[in-house]
Amino acid sequence: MNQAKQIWKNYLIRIAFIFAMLGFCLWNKNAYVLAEETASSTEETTPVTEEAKAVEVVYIDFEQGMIQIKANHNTKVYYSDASQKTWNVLEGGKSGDILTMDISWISAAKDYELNLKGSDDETVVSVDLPKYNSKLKVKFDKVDGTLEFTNEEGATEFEWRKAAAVDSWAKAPIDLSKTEQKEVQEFLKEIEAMRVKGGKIQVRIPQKAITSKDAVGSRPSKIVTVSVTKRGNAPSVKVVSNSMQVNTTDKMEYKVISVAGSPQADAKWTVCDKKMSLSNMAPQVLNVSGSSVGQDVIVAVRKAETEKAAYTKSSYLTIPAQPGAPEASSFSTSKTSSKFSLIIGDATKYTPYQYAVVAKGDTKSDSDLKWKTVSSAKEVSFNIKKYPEGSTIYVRTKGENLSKKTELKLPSAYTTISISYLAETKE
Amino acid sequence: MNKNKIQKWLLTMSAFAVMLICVGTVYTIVHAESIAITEIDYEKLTLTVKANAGDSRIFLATTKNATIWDEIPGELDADHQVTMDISWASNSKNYTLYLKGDKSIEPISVTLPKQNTKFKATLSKDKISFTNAGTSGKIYWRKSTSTEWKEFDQDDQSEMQNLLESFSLKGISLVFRTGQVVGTSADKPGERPSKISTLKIAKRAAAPNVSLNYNTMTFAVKKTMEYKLSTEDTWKDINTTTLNLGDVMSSVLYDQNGKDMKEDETVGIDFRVKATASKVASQTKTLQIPRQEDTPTGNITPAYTGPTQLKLLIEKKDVTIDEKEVTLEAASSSNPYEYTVVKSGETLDIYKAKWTGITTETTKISSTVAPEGSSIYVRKKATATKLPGMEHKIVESVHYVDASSLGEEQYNLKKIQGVDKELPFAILVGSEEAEVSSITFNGTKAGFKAAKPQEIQGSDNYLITVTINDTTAIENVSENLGKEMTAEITLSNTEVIKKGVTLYIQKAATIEAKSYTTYEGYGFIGGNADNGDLTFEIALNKEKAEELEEAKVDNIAYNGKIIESNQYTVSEMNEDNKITVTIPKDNVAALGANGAGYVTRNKYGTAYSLVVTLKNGEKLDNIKLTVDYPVKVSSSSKFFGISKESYKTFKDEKKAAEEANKNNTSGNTVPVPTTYSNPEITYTIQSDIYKEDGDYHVTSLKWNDNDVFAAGDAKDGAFTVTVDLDKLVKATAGSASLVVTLENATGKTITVDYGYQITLTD
Repeated sequence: MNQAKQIWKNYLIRIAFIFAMLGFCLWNKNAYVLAEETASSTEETTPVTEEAKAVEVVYIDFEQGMIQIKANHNTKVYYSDASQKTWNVLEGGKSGDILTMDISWISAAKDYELNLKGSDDETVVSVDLPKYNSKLKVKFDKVDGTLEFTNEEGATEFEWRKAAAVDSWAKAPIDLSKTEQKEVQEFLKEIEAMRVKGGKIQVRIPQKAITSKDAVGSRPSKIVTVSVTKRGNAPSVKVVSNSMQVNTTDKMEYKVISVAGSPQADAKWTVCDKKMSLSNMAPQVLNVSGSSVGQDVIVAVRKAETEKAAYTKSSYLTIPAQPGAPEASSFSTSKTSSKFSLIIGDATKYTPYQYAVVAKGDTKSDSDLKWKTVSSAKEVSFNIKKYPEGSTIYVRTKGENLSKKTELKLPSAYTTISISYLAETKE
Repeated sequence: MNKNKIQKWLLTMSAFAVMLICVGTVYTIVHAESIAITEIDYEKLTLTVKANAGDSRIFLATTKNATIWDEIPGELDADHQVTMDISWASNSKNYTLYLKGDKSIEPISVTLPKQNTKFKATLSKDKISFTNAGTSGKIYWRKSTSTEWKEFDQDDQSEMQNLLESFSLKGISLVFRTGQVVGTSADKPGERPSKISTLKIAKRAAAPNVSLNYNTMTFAVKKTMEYKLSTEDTWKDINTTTLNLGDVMSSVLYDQNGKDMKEDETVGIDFRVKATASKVASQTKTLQIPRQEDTPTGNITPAYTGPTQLKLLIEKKDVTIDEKEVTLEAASSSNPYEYTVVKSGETLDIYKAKWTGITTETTKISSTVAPEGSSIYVRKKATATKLPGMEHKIVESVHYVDASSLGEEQYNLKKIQGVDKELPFAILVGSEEAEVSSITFNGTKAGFKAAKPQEIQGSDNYLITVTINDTTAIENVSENLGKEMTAEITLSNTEVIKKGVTLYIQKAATIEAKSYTTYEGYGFIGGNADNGDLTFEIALNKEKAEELEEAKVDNIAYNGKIIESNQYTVSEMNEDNKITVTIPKDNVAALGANGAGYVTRNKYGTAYSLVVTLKNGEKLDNIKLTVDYPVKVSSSSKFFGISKESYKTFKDEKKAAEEANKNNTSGNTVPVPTTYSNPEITYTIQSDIYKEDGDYHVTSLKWNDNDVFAAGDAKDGAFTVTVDLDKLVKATAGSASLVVTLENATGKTITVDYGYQITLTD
């Protein structure tokens, strides 16, 4: 029920959104406007009562390929090119005193001087239709995910849209470093979305329509199709549970994006070490006996950006919190004067444990420990010779690598067992 | 209840409860919320996924069991949604995507439908229709050169039709597509916008060739066309082959708005070929039509010239139009008018009427063209660039005047052939315009003068007085003489009067010489003694003589001088109507006497008329009498001229040459000039004199009283004299006749001091 309501609510939001978009687009576009002149079109034989004046150019929209001309009570309007040798009648497209002339036949590749005059007031009105910018070059910066423009001829704004879409053009400033601007954000967001699979966008410099106020305009430039390159695949990284390391390289970077289910908004990408240990990457995950409890973390890892390549997609490592050290009850020890025995009673095939032993005097860091697996309650013994009094045994539950069958499980924190022997008794 | 039963019941209930719990759990598990697709926008090519509460990320793969799943970038929004790009997914096939969350790991799938490639737009008679347009219900369009789509109103296509008019300027390609159906879930993935369909709009065809026939004020058009005034917006259908100017453009007519239009103002009218199912309308042909002007009527005057004719006078005249002095020119080939006749009972249709040109000041219209009761309209004729002037009714109702006639009168005119006489009569005419064009008798015209028609008091008619004053041509046809002829009087209004005037011309009398007509005998007694008297006979025409003055001799004149009546006798008329006139020989001689006043010596030998005038005015003048010398020079040359000096030179040269030749021993002689030799002149003597008097011989030859005789010889009625030049040149210079004196055996002399002229110069 709730879901249905939710779906319906979503639908309404979507519709409202679409209309809002449309409205925005219509308002924003250089829309084609029909004149609203209400001059009667059923005039009979009454001769022209208004004095005709020179024709006027109201509006030139290069995108729509049309000119709106005010006839100013001339019965007919004529057009010609720069030579003014032949004048042709402008037929059709008349609504009241406004004439709409199609200029899509005028080649955009050349400058064109269009001349207009009325049949009653023959003052010639000249309009310069400049050729379009055919030299525009746009290159996709696959590192930054932005565009580099050449020959934009002083334009400060560009238009873009997905090449495969029938969407309308969106505008954005050519200076895409202005990330505080909404248009830049929209653009970068869209580009990012396209980098999943790669795609193509079309870019051009928009027209500058000619109006009665702005007599100088420009056509939309040539459309440049720019390939948006796919981001590289996410690196294949995994946690090696045994060593509690991640098979990272120093070309990668990581970010702890979630700790104990809370998104880490301030987390930043940090360069990885080669074969980075979890204690460096996500120490939150560790269970420090007597100190902090481990927390589930999610770490995003990707190849870092280089001069030539953008950062790749991210791999996500969902790392459950490290279990706590085994309870003392999970194992038992016994000793003789020359033998120390350990039996991990809780060890089974399904609940394997691991132990590592460090002789006294040896200094070994955690990562140097060599863990042996115990999957039954069999005795593990240590002799005095090798492992003198004071040597240390570490016991922990075994971790599990992520696979089709198993979830990732870190080895637990270890419990330390000190090896001791019975004192030797003579007599 | 016993214990067992309660236990059993409890067990059953527990089992049932457990089952419910299990089912509930399973149910919950099975219907646990999976991630869901909430929107697929095929215009933006985005897909929005709603994650579950526990999901932080959504992953995408294109195969079900993919090993690599791509993370959809971007933070989940407040609704736990994230939007991904689907522009990379091919639209030419149904494309399935798989999505899962990082926690909701059970993937869901969605199949993006392939694009509709069968969408088609077609243009038919200004209306665009679509097939295979999907289910979105929306159509979008743009120019092929534009990149922005606009929604297309399928129901009200008036805006597009207006645009098509402007697109047909040069032709254009329009591109159409359907709208999308936004996907709302995996089950309802929606619909992509269709593949585009291109519609070519052809450039409109050239304008039709239409022109105005200014003479008929009609446009020749075709039923495939339409028209409108240039200032109008709506086109009007044409379903005829001609359009009358007044039907489509009445404003230019003078009595509509033309009179208020300025001189060079025009009204535009557009024509074009209508759009068809497969073509837009053609280009427009615009004609500029000037205003129609008025036809001023101040100089147009109709007048009736007769019972079957009227005339229109369009003359040069000064008139006042709108308080301005204007000179109207006469109708001519450079200022043409035209008229039409509307029969009584009919109305004028200026387009169907037959207009007849007027290119002269006066135009005559017969009653067959304009019968009694009809109306006549006149207007200025059109030029190549001007409409005909507005027509005016010049004659409201034609009413002809009475026919012309001689009235009650009967004129029987009489005259004598050859005798001039004025023969008057008068004609009654119905119109003061009437004129007499010709009067003929038996097909031959008579000369006449006719006065202008005069008003008759107390009558609508007029009187023309006519006088016939020349019947020469009629009299020359001998069949016309001596019988009564009826005049055929033709008036300028085509009327012909065939009775009322008759003419009788009496044949003239004739005269015939019955004796000699050459009298040679000046200065000699006898003369034509043997021939005797001069007589001639006059044949009179007696018919109807009693109505004319008596045909008697009034006088006889010779060379214009009347001979006294006692010099001749006239006999009585015999039964053949002939009278004889006799002039005795002595009186004939008197006629020839130098100084008598009839003939002078230097005119001897010339025939002069002997004219007999009768009392009835007839003049008989075909007798000629010649008085002549009895002795005449017969040599061809009648003149000789010489200068003393040249004769002397001749003589000297001759002498010198003869001298030279005389002394010449070589055999080469010098030519001797032969310029002058003594002239010889031969005369003849009239035989009667000669016979009677016998031979004459030359006794002297003188010039200006100087003897110039070289030789002289007379024999058988002729004599020859030779002038001695040596003697001649001794005389004083001058010009005179050679004088020959002759004598016969009886001593009778003849002096001939005429006939040969010699001129001597120094």
